[in-house]
Amino acid sequence: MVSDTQLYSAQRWLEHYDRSSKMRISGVKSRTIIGDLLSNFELDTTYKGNPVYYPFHTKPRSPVFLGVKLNPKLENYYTADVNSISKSYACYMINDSTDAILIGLGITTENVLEYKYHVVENDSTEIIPWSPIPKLEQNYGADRPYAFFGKFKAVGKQLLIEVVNTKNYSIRDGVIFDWRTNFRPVVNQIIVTTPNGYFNLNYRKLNRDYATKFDSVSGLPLDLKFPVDSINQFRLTFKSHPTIPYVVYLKQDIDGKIETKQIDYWLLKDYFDFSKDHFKTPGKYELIIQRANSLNYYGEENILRIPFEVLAPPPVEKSFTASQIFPFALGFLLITSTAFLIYYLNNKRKLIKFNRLKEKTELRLKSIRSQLNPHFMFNALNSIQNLMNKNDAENANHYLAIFSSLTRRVLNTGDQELISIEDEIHLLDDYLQMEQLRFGFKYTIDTDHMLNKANIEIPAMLLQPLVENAVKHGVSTLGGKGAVVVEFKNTGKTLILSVADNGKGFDKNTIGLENKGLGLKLSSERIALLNKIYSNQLITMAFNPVNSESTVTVTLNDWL
Amino acid sequence: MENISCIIVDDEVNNIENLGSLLARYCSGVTVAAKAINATDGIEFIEKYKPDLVFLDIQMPGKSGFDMLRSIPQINFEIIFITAYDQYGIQAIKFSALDYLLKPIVIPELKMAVQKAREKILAKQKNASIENLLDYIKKGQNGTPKIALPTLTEIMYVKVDDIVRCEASDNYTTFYLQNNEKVLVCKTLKEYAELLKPHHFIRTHQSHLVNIHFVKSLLKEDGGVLLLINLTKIPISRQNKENVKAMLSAF
Repeated sequence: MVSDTQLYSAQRWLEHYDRSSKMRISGVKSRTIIGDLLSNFELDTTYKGNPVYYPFHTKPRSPVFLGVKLNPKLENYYTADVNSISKSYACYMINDSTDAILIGLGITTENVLEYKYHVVENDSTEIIPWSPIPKLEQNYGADRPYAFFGKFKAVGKQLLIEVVNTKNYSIRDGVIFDWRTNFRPVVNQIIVTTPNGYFNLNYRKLNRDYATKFDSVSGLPLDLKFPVDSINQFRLTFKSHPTIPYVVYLKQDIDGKIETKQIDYWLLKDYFDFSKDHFKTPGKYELIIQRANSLNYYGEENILRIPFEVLAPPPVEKSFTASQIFPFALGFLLITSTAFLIYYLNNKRKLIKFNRLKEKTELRLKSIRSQLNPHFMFNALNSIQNLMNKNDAENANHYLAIFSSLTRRVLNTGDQELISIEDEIHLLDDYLQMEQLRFGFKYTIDTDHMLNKANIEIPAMLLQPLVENAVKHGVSTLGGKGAVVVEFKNTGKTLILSVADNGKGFDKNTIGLENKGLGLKLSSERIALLNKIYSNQLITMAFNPVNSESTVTVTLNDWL
Repeated sequence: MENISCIIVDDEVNNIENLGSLLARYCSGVTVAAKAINATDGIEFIEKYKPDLVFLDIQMPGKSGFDMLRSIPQINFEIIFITAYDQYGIQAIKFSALDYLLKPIVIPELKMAVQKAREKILAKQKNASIENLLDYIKKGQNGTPKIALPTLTEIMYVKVDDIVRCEASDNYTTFYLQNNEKVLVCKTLKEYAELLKPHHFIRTHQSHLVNIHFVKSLLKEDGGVLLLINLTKIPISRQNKENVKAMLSAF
């Protein structure tokens, strides 16, 4: 006995089948139908209990299609198809835990070896890998053999059976049997769209307290409420349910008037947009979503309910008097002006920082240069004090004048990066005279006659630290035997400055800068900085320590 | 007046000459036994002449004045340091309450220093301050040196870490120590504020200097009060408030 169930399945593979016409396939003649469908014959069909003949020109849509035999008493097995690229696989809901028999029409003795089938459980486990067709059968009055795949049952699970022609992948078919019984929709998230933006309802920081309590299992809001017109729509996103169409009902209780309406009857998408058109009026609502069927058909465990309340709009003050607005306006003004001020100050600070960085190099140059060693200065003064105490007024006056001149020159060059060679020579002469008073050595300052001393400028006080070094570490302990020679020479465009002394000389083994006193260290630092500024006139410094004499040479390349 | 003998150690002949003539003219009863132009000569002359007093230049090429003192096993003479400009050296000398002169020499200061040295020489006091000085130089500013506190009757040597706080009263300063002892010193708070600054002391008020190690918390009452571990409350003046906060947060 073939049930109506099989007929439904057969319908899907008939082209030109038209529900709106009066064509029907009769259960009475079903056996014939199964046989004839494959033969591309004209069918005479009758409608059960209404024996009227209609001409029925049809042919199978595919060389192979699947026939299904379910429990004849099974109800509500019909559900959505699932697409597999160009194909569409039928799905049957078997909620009474009975078997399903699957046959393959169009698979015959001639072509059976070309076909393979496999069975996948819960869209994840292939419980029968691609295998040859288990056997052929010829029952139900079929006029030729067909493939028999077997009797299937997997309570609480879903099986996909796919058949394919290995020579032509486009010839394939599939069917899904679903023995699951709980189809309560699972909501992944609810996105709320407001007139100003959207947020995830479950995100408490953003949800404006529209919902404060959530079901610990489903994550659904338990106390959703919001003012009327504050929400444009909810988008409910579901766990994928390709074979289970949903139906959506809305129950509303407005001033005691309870009404339930269907707002979607066949929802297969993974989301549902619940527009504000449905909740324009303040009141209590309940959104009910379940597998497509009439309300109350399924048990409560299969139903998703989201209660919510639309609140009356907050009372709005009709108008504000000027004195009411004033403090708010003032506050607003204050906040914006403060924000602007902060922004302005911040920018200004950045600018200052940048400028400071720019000036830093220059400042460092100055600070390195403008120091006269205080130890030198006070000792020089002490030497003058000695002249006074010896009643040598003439010399006391002379050296006091030189000390003043030196101090003045150093103070004056404080803001001058470059000074003429002439001025530098004066400065060195003053300095060396003061040191000579302290230690009694001899010195000379020689310049090339060709050098334009008055007009060639060099970095101010470039040699002073080197001369100080020559005195301190070279000749200070030699008394009258000590000698310092300072020279300004030029070869071509290069200016060569040198300071030589006949002191102990540098130890060749410890020729690191740190061993040569602060003066040399500062000089090298300064030259490094100068090279950053005068980058195409490279300045170099060289030490030539000899046992009885040391020379420091500063070369200003391309300077003249 | 009893005559005292002295030695001058300085690397510059001018300075030796100058100090010699100043002593001859303004400090009667001081005989210059020898003049040394470096530390090595100084050690030799000290051994040879056993002077009562040494005028010692700190900055000299080769061995410094401090180096020289370190190589003398027994220091039984008074010292007056002479320096042109040496911040660290002066800090060390002040820490030990020793005398020093700055160049060029100011005559009243010279007279005063010689007078004080003479009194100590005649009283035959043991010169413990030198040991303290050498100890300070050895440890550097990072150690926990002792500071010499000249009271009316003696010179106390107190570990800087044992000083809880200092309080000014006119030209005197009272030191509050960790063992609850109080020491009255006849120098101004300002002097100690500078001296103790590298050792984490904060000037909270014109009359108060506090060792930051003993601060418990900053109270907001009365516009700012420091609560010490021993629960003493120290006022913070308005102009010092920001500085105190900065130091506390940096500590």
